[in-house]
Amino acid sequence: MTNHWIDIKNSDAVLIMGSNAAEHHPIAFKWITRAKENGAVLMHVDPKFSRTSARCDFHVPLRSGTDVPFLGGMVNYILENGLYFKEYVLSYTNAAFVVGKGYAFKDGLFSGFDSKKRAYDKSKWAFETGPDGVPVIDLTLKNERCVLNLLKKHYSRYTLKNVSDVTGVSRDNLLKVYKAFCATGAPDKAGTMLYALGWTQHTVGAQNIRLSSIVQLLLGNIGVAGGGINALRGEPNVQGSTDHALLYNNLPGYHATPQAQWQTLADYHKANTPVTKVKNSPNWWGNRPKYMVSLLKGWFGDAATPENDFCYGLLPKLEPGQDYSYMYVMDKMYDKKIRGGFIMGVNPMNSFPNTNKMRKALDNLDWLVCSEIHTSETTENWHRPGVDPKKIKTEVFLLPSAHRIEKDGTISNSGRWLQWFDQGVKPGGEARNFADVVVPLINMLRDMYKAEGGTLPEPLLKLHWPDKYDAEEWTRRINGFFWADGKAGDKTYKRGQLVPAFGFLKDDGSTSSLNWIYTGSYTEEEGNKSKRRDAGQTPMQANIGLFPNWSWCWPVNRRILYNRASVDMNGKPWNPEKAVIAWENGKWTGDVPDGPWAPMSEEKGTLPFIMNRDGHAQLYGPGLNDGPFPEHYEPAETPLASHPFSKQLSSPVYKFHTSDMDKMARAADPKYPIVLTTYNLTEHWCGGGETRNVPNLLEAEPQLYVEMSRELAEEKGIKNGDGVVIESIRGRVEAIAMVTVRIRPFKVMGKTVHLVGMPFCFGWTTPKCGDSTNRLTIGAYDPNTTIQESKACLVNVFKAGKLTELG
Amino acid sequence: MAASCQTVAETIADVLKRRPVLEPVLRFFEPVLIAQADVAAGLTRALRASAPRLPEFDPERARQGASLLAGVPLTGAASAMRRSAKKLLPLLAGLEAMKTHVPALEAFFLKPARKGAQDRRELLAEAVVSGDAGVFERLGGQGGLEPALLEFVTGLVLAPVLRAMTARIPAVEGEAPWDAGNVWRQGYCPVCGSLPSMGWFDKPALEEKNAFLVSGGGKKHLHCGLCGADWKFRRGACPACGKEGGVMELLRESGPAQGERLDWCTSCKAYCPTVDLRERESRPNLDALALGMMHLDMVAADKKLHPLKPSFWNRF
Amino acid sequence: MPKTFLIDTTRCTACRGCQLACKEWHDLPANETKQTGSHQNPPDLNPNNLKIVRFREHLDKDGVVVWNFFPDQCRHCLEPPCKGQADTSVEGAMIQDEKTGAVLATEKTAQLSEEDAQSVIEACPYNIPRLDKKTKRLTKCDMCFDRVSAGMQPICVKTCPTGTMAFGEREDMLNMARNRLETVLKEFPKAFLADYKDVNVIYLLAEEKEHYYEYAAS
Repeated sequence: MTNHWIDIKNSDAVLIMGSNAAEHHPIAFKWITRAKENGAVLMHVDPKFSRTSARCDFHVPLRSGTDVPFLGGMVNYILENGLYFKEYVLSYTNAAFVVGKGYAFKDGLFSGFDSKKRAYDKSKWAFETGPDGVPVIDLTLKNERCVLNLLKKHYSRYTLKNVSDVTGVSRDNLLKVYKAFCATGAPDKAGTMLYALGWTQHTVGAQNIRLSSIVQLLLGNIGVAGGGINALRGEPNVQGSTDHALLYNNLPGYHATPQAQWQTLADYHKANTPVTKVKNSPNWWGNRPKYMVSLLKGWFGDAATPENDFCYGLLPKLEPGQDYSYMYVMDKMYDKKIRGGFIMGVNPMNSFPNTNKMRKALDNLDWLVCSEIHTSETTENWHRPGVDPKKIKTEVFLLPSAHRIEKDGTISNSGRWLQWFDQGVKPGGEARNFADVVVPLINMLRDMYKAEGGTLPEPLLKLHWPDKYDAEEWTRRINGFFWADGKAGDKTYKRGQLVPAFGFLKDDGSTSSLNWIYTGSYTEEEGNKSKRRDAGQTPMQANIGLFPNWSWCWPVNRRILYNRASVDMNGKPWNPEKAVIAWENGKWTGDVPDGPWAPMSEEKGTLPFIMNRDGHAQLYGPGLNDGPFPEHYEPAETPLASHPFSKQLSSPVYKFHTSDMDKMARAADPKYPIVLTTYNLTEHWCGGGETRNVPNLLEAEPQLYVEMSRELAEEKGIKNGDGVVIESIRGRVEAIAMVTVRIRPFKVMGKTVHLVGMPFCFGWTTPKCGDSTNRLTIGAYDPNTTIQESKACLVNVFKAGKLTELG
Repeated sequence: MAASCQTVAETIADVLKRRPVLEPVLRFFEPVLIAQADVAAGLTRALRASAPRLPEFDPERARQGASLLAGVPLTGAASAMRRSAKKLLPLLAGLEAMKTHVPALEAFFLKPARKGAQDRRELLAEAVVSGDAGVFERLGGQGGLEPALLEFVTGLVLAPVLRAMTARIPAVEGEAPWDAGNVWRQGYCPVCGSLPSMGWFDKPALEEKNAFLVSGGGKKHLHCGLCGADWKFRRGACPACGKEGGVMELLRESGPAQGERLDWCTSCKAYCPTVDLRERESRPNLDALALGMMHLDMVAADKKLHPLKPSFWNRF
Repeated sequence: MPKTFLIDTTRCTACRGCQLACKEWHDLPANETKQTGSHQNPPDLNPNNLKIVRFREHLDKDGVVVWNFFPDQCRHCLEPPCKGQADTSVEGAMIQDEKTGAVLATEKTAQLSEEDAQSVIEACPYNIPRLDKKTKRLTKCDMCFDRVSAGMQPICVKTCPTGTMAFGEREDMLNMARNRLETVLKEFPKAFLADYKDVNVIYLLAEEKEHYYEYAAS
């Protein structure tokens, strides 16, 4: 979230799109209710009418996979009607930047496309620069290659007709949402966008979010109270795991994972430390070497010295251009290139797409270690229905895992608040926290290396590694220490003391931090700030519910990101009624501003978007792999043979695999005419591995179902409650039909397109409840993140004879 | 708060139902506590005419941590204290350990002041508020009394006077002025500066505007055993050392004593008896309940914890 | 003055926290249920579910989806017909607590003949009591009598995260109900307080009872 849960109450218009907030955040939803009671308009744009829709002012059904046209239509509506916040857009975004001549867009493809590699040469999309390297900015917007002009041109194709034809949303409904939301382009109004996996799990997932940021920037909704782009995350600690780099492609604190061509730390710094030519741009990532060296110091301690590149050489390096995401790992496993491994905290044999392939892939392992509370479809894969356990060679080690209430430590909530959780009860039996599995395991390996030697012992032996795991100690390590006596401001610190803020991290090895964005969360002066539960605040902060003394929030306790964009050039809030920060008597009041510098109009004033090299928010963003502007591409499996935006049907660069089990239905395949979207529900949690073992929850939602319209049911001769079979080109799933008015047929390009929806929380290890919905879903991935397109694929539905998966 | 407030007698009766073993102690102090409440009620009316008055509440001073009475002379408290002592001292005479000291105490609290000198009652009262132990040593020595005893009795006599003064502080939008706008952030009393004798969690409140936000109750308040003030405090913080996040619960009771427990600080090892009122029908008299939870004080002493607010029953 | 619930269905998200909390407080076992084409599960009140959330959907005259949620439970009538009926056969089978207004099915309901028990069930205008075939007793919501007697809120009210449910003195609840109705009417012109003069569980419904449940109001 750019903002935080409480802040939603400050909103004048709440657009929930790609999220089922009431069902998945039932407690936090109260802030959305509060916005409504304060007079906000609540809108839910989603393929199905859910419990969220029931509490909104209106629901707009949208064909799954058409968020880009829906939002692109909104961009066009804003620009055609001049509804954008002009001063904000010109001053704070790259609207007036001139794009280089290398950029072009034709027939759905951007310039630089290499069809063999399915990749773009992104250098073609660069901005125009002057002879001194400074980007060319034309505030008169006369240059036709100004970003705003290109934006206008690009989205001029997103007319109400085209958008309506593709999305299946009526013109009236489009206008209803556009009008209500775009009213927040007024300086004293704010609109928020709430999303979740409904936006991300598409082959254009990253671009969905890019486009939402374009809308929010045009309306001046970034940085203000009640605004922002808010990814709804929660108890699974997605925020924390992202910050701490659970995925392969970055290191804790949003640093790129080293690649083979960066053999030295100097190479790494050179490739990853941006340099700006814009003189009032703070270019915060220019500090990256300090954070990277502090990270290395946190990992390797005294072993990390300037002479040995702080042990940078010991980090594994990626081959450039290679994808090491879990989808590719599973593909390699299917290809018998992986012999064993650990699977913890995830149930891929139920939750990953194209599960039939996943299950077969897992059979190829010699050994597997899992740590779980309950057995799952993953731990029990070797004796799943339809396989002979004697023929599966995998040796499974199942370690009993502690439940989350049996652990202490922090969870980072959706609003980036770091909150401490005490241990409720001690783990039962031999159950252990994951960390209490990993820390001793590494120590055993270290002991073995010490005793027996072996290949490349240094990465493990040089680690600054504890004997025992202690959550509080780890929280301190994440904050970081001084490794030499030093100073921060006027204060002196001794070696071993905590660093008070990331501004004091250094690139000379005198400080450590396991994650620079969390530096300041645990200090000598104030202790463990994740434990703060102080509701005290100034009247200005109380006005918008900032609660700066409750827990702690990264970065530097800033509750609303990009808050310098909430004020004008003189530091005066655009909306004084809901001021986030204000420049008063030479000082900032309210929230912690994005950097201490004076407002832009002053001599040493700075631009607000400090994390972007040139200080401006990016309407035009040349960084993503699939284009500087979001463009509509149909899902990898689409019921359409063509669409009105271009000849390019699906994304030219989405990723996929080519094994014999990675089949895809062709476009408008008559055998699979129905769109399937998948989701979850309040009563079960994620893949259901935990909640299916709670009898009272299973009582409330006992079995797999498929929601479908009355029209489709009639066409197929299916009655409510009938057993049905759903088939995709990849698999077959049984479910109970839930025939409902909450799903309606879409009118798309003149024809009727049906959509069905299924939860993915049921699996065979719970008797009679049905088995993985993901046996239907597709292995097609976003080209930036490799997230799977779980939200849209093609299926067909039939009335079932005898059911075998459901009791 | 919608729930009814119990009187001293009601709370003691309630406690005795579940802890009959405390009968002798509670029965002895019951009349003392009742008399204190009576005196305070009487004084609330009477004080209108006579001094002292509390200074006006100043949010800025409060924000800086200055309690209302900090540095304020208690000139004029003598007659009210005399009135209080007149009622309370005879009750103390019933206690064996106290009996022999009553004449000396009467000399302190009932005799008129010597001309020209500051009234000793007021000196003692100011010493209680400022925590100046030297005064009790000096005056106790002069009057032939143990300083600790003199301090204890002064507190007992002064409490109804301060309570009468506190009771007259006007509310701001239905809240005590120090709770309004969260201006008071200290663990000690915003009126007299004492450390709290009890903590309590408030009950769910019916507040339509906030029906789905704060109706669950559970805000922590601290209660001053001396002047009777209550103030909101951060639930996870220690009132003594201020450390956040280190407060743990000890000996949470269930059944009829639901919600009674000790909150103790892992950092400074101070504890405070606390009662969670969210799931109790009525609000007990907190002074009586503090006494009625003395069995927990013993357990705390065993665990080497020390009371936040020492009283005669928790100094082991 | 008895205790009263206010259940404002316009705030309900059907999270079913109340339904589960009720089971757990009363320590009732889970039924083995099946998906039958509805989220409403178990499909009806039963001896193991004294409170369930009912779901009902329809298209309004403009073709807009309306999905209503109805957390169904005993209304604790001011003059309970079930008690009147039970009294004619077994005195004390159904009782009304004077202090709280709770209407309770006691262990004496087991003494009711099957026919008499059926008559008690049929006497209820809201179709609430259910016969436990094993114990022969009538079962229904007991207002969490144990909790309420000890000064606590009923567990469903305590659990509700949305502000749908409130509980307190009847007079306070009536005031709150009137205030809420006034607000809700602006958005839902057909909103009303179901049978509020006769019951201690007052539902604020956004439209006709048929769009919630036949027995949502008498």
